[in-house]
Amino acid sequence: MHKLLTLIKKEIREMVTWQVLIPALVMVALFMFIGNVLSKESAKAKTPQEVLVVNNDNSATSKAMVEALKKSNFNVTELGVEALRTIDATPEQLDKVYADAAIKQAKEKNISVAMIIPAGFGAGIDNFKPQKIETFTVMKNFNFQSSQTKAILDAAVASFNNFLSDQMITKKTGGGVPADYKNPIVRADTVIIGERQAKVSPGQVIGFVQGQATFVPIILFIIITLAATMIATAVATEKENKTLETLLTAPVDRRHIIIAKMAGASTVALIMAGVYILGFGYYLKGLGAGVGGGQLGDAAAQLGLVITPGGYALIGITLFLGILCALSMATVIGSFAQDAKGVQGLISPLMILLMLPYMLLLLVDISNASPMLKYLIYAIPFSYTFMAIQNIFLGNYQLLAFGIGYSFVFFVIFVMIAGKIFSSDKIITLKLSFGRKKKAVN
Amino acid sequence: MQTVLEVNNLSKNYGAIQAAKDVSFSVSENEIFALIGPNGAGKSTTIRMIATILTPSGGSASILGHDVTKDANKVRELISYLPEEAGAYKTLTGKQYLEFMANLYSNDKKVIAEYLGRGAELAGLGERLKDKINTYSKGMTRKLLLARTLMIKPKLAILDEPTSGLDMINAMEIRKIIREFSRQGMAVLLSSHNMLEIEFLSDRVAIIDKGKIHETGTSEQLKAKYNAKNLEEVFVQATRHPSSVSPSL
Repeated sequence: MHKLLTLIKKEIREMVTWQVLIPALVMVALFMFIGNVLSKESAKAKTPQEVLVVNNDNSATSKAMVEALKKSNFNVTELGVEALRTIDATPEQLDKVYADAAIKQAKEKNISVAMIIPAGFGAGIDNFKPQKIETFTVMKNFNFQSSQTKAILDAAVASFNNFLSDQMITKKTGGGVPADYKNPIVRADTVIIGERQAKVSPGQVIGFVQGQATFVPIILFIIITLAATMIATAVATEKENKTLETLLTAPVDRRHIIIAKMAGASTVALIMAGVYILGFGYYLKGLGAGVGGGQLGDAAAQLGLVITPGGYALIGITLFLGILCALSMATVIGSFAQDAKGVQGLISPLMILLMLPYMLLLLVDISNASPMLKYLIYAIPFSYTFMAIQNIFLGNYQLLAFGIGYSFVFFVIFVMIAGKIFSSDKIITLKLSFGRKKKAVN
Repeated sequence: MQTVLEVNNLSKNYGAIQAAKDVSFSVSENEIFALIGPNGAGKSTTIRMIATILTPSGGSASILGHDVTKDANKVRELISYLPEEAGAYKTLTGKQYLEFMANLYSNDKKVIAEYLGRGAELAGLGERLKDKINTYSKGMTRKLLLARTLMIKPKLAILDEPTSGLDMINAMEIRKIIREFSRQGMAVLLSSHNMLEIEFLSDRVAIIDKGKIHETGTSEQLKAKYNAKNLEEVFVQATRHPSSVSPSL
């Protein structure tokens, strides 16, 4: 035990370095920053949107329409048209004057959407004839912000349409309730997950689950990749520096050398998991503020979309087994490498094994997948890690238990292979190089 | 004097390549025994089999009666091995490295302290022992590794090219240390392709080439047999005539 602890202490000392910790801390800072930005952006979205309106009609209808816009969370800046009118101007010339003035004003006041309500607009509407309004959108970039500008324009026009159609329906029906005519069907959504059900829209549920089930696998992917690369590099570096030869001639159980390396890499993985979860927490907080993640409330609990302490324990077990599977496979892979550089090429099959279930589970509904694809996903131990949250949400505890058992067996088999390699001279003689000449045996 | 290492017809094959062929020799207490030969002669393969790193394809080797294959764990308690061009853990300080290795050889705090004291003295690095190994020169690292090898006072020290890549001063210092430990009773098996060093350091030598031992004896005996001025001439003559393989002198 004393020797094992000595080995573990050395591995942790070698693996937990500032070179490993600094990038992790940077990631936390990055997550915090993104969370903060999302939170600010969502707060911004709740503030009234700026719209510039040139009302050249000035009828009761157009005035009422602008008032309705103000009530729909829009900050309306009205551009007075009286000063712009000139006696000699033709209607076409006036249109140009209004448009130029609207654009100039919008730019000066940093308003991205401007609309001109033409003369005769109200009269046309009163006669139930569709009318045209001119819109101007000031685009300053083509990123996420630009789509918000489009949303402002769409929402403003929708607000006008809504107001006018309500007015028309009321007139035509002699006082009928517009909503009854517009949406004669009222939805009463119920979402069912397993035996549980709740009165909530499927869109809300999907948004809530995807918020967690999409990003958690990214973190798992990063952690597992890091741990696997770390242990494979540790084995290869020991070979390269010939420190392994010294270690192999010391009176220590060779299985302890593997256990110590796994313990070191697991420690790094756990530190990383903690760091990423912390950063991810900030990120989710920001995201929650953005998408209204808290709105589900009781419905989420009714559907079992809440991770209980037991659920967290199960996720922890599957994550830990996923890490152990990667570590045992990477130990075997590291045995084939001649040096740390060689690890990069050799570890790529493991990366593909990680990437495959991650991508497939994002894109494919496993319950409806072809048998071959299903078996392929089930054969890869990391699939169970990526599916853990979804399985808990969906109550697939049988699959979860099978995954835990399967991953454990997978891990034991690879540890045995690694043990066999370390117990024989294969750890020294095994070599896999790509295009390099073999070294002479001295 | 007690025989510490007994090697009988030791062989190692890598597929069709025979890296060591029926190698036989023995090393006693207080004795420095050297395997000499050019690169690729089979020195390191033979040494690695004795050090329990490689599994022999044939023959046997035992240390104080313990077979290197069947009783490898016991053998590892009796030997200490310094590989050729070995490195140390660069993220550790010299002191931490010695502590790490000492803890692998004993659980007893007193014994560990004794190993560490000896290791620090042998390394001769003074305050630099507190520095990270990645700041050491090649000579400093080699001295640290030799200190690590000898601090536990093994029954058999296996030194593969102990002065490889070192300047004259450091090489001389290391030779002196090896001699001193041998006088205290330790058996030493070393390999080198530096014949002059071997002549100065070793009590007996074995000339090895293409995996085969061609001659075994003291430097003086071999030089007399081949009427040679030095071991280099002995080596050339002994390996030029494969039929000249003779029993140990």
